[in-house]
Amino acid sequence: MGKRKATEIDNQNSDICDLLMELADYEKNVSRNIHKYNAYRKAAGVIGQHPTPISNGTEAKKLSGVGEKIAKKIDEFIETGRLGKLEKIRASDENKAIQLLTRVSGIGPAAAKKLVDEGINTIEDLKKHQEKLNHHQKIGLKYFEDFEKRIPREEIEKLEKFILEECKKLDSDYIAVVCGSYRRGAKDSGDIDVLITHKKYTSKEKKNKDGFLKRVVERLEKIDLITDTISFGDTKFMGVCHQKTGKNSKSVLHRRLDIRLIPHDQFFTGVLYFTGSDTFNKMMRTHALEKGFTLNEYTLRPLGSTRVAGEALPITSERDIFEYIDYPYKAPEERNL
Amino acid sequence: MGVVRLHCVISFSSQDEKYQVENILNGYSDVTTSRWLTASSDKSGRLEAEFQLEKASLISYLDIGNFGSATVEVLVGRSSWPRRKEYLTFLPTVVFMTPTDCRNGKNNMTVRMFTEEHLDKVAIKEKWDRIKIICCQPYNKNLQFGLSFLRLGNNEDNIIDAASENLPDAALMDQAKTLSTETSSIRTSKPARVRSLTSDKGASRAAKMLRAAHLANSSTRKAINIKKEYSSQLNLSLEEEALLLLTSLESSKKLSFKELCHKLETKRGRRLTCEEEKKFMDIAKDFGRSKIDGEFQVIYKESLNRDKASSSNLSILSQYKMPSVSRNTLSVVDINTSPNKKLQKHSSSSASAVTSKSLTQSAGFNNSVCFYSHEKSSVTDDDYHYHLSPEVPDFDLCFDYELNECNSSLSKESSIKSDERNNSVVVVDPKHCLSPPVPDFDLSFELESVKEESDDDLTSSEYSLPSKSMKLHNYKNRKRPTLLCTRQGKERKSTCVSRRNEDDTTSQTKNFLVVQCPLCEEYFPQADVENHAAVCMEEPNRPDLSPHSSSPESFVECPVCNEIYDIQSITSHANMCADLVAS
Repeated sequence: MGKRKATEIDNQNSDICDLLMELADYEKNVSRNIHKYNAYRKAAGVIGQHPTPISNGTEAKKLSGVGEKIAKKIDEFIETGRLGKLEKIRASDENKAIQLLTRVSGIGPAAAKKLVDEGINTIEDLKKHQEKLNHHQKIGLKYFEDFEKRIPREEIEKLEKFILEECKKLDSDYIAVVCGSYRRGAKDSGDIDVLITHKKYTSKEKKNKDGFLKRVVERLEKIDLITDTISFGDTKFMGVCHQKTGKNSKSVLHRRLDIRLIPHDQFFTGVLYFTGSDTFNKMMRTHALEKGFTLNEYTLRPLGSTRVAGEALPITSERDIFEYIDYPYKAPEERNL
Repeated sequence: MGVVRLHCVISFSSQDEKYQVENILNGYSDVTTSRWLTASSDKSGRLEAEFQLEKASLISYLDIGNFGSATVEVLVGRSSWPRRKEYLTFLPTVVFMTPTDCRNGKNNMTVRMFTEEHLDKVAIKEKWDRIKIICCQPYNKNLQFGLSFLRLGNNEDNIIDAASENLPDAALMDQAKTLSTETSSIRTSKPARVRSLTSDKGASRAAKMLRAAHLANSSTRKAINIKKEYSSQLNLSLEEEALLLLTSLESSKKLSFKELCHKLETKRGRRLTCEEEKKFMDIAKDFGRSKIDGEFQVIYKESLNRDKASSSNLSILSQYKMPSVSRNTLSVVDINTSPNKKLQKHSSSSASAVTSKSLTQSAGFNNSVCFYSHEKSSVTDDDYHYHLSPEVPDFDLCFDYELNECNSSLSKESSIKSDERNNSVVVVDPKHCLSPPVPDFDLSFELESVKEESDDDLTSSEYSLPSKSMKLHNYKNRKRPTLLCTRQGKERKSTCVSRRNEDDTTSQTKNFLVVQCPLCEEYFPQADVENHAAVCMEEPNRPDLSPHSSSPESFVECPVCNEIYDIQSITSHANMCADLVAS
């Protein structure tokens, strides 16, 4: 999940959405209240979906996810064109610094707060005090400008094809899919999230786990696709990749790349989960519960009369999951909620 | 060890006029008619029933035959509980059909067999007298759905109950009654015929023995002792001496086979020949197994017929009364290695070799006999014939028997380890340093015979081993009888396993775990057993693989499913099988 959400296309209320998202970011990064963050985000999402421009708070309040307080803020914004709370937030240097530092990959709200307390307010300050940073944050800083840039869809398409080819060269039983907003059809994405699986790697076989991911990562390192490693475990690789291009094209930036190894039998629940969006995932899960199932990134399991989850259902495609829980199938592009 | 019976129906949500819920009580006698379905008017997509068990029992496995349900859940409770108290999940919801299957009405009669690994870890340790079944079919509301059978069982050691209760067990009486009829003797010998297709006489003999054992059981329940009978032998034979030696060693815990050999050699005052050593190894293994049931009566009946000039025959027939084997009264594996002989010849010789029978078994309670026979002819003609029950829940037995091309396996070291704490014996072939004594139950029995020439095809069909490879980890907790058969190019292996360490799977060989079908009680490769059971259910009147009418040649492999069928039934089976595949 990226730190920022791509703004909705055809949004009639983009100004209100931006306002709410700014408040959401503030709640997440500065006050560190994840629930307020989620509430603002949900409201922004539902208002973004609204087909007509919203004229006042009462109208907005009818939408699910918009309560009294948010409605008041919308009223204030529509009437005055500004929001007192936001002005205050914007005015604070500390808040600004925290918001800035959290843009570095690996620096979260807590780390940012700590750094600001230590007197580090800018990226330049950070560069001077690299000893305060961990490995991940150092890489985040190193490629700060690159990571800020959105990744165009074409670039990911090329990369996906390339990674898949390399995997198949290793072993034709590998499967690789790029998930995230890219899979939902986004024009650009914040990072690249690749899921791989191998037919022989299932959740039942705990052994051999390291082999499958390691082989792929080593291969990609060898051909200089992967330039840095942030963390590398048995099932998850986090790092930086860099696609070499021909001389003529403009230089390609370094990109954040995550590779996850998923057991073959859990691949489709994994793909569904990592494709998102997270709001869509929440809806899916809620619906699954209504139908007597429990869904997570690993399995779909039926719930018994005592709410005990049963055995994992055999799943051979994403569509299977929708069928089990009796939910109309949504193609990845339709999951941008 | 036994079947847990359902006593009556407490309540149910709906039932079809013809396929009533009571049918489930009848077990699986006639699966075509004994299913239980929803009423045609019931569109709720949910079917529930509560059953009273005959008595509070442990339940350690469940076999469920589906009929159109998408999911099935099993809960347990007690009749003494207040009405409001909710039943506990015993078998968490399991899936029988995918939504697509449901809509197309495909795979609606699958059978699944659940063991400890599927069942609730806590509930499995307690006794229950009520069970509740919930079947769901949310995907196709127009179908009538339900179950075709439900079977519960446990690995409970009933022998103690029997001693204290002193009441004739209904099940046992039933069994005794049925045993008196001819048809039932076939029925009880069913497991025996499983793979003993070569020796029809052997199977019927097994049935007779079983019957005799049952009669003896119902009439006398004596204290358990070990008795030995020797047949017309003036001098102590090798076997007798070996047995005496082994019994005298009871207290000592671990001895390698070499040490045992040495003891026997000193006792006999001369070195053992290769042949003798091999025999001794067999005896030691037999003894090891007999020691496992330890306190139980063992009768050794040995008829020794030594004619060194022509061909020597030795037959050891040992019978064990197993304490807790009742589900599958008898299970038999046959291994035939006859490089020079035809199989038929073998079967006749086997029949003649085992002539002596003596059954004065007492003690023990359950309706079962675990039966083991081993016979052997000369060095040149090696006919190995094993009857053994793999289902021995209360001890470890790891038995690895290996024969090499020139019978050179004799030199191989073998040790007997007995772990007193678990009342267990492990016979190990330390060539591979195979399984050390495992702290909990483990039975693995391996027979390996290498040397397969002309009759390779024949014997392969005899085992009914499709040439697919299988892993056995899944069934490691399965205490119901299972066999593991391994095949290795021209060599072949038959392994009988009822739970093994994952580690000791030979890597380059293909393994087959063979599991008993809950309907016809025959053995099938683990991967196929549930498929088979589904088919078995559809056509229970399939011409029987009667051991009386069949010779090994009359069994052929179905081209579709690779299972073994009687030549008379193969056409009908293959048609059906092909239909199944096509649909």
